Amino acid sequence: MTESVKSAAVAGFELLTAGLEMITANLRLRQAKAEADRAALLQKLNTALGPSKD
Amino acid sequence: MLTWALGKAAPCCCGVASLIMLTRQSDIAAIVGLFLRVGAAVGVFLLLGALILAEAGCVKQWAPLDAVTDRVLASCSPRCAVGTAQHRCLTELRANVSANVDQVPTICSPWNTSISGFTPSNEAPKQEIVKP
Repeated sequence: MTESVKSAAVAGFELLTAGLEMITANLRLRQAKAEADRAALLQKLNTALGPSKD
Repeated sequence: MLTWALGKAAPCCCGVASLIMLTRQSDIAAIVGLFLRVGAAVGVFLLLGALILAEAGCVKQWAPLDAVTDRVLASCSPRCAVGTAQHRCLTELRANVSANVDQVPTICSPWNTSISGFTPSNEAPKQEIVKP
């Protein structure tokens, strides 16, 4: 295997891992946003109903 | 004469046979390598597809519950009295949100109108662009 093929394979592997990292980071970001939305909704409901008994 | 001919032909036949064997082995190796490469590529694409699907399906959607909460709160302003349907709906909504369940309770169905029920009759009047 020549050096150029090796470097192309390494670059492809790095590109693949970077893509996977991007997908997982985007997933974490969306989960964090959903958690913030949930907290805001719970705050709104608590304000409307008063604090829960439990 | 026959012995001489066999003696001359035998190495030639063995050489051809070994050449055929070598060609077959190299073909098999090439086919196996090709299958391995195709399998690796398919595996990578399946992994990416599974990740994208998981990304789309695993994140909970709180916007519909937020919209229902806004509609319920708007329907009983300034405050929802205890015992009313709105109060029960809000209580169920709070229980669901606390339990991390992104489902609108059935008791809130009067306020859970989907966007499919939208008709042009309740669309806001269009604004005309006035040219200077």
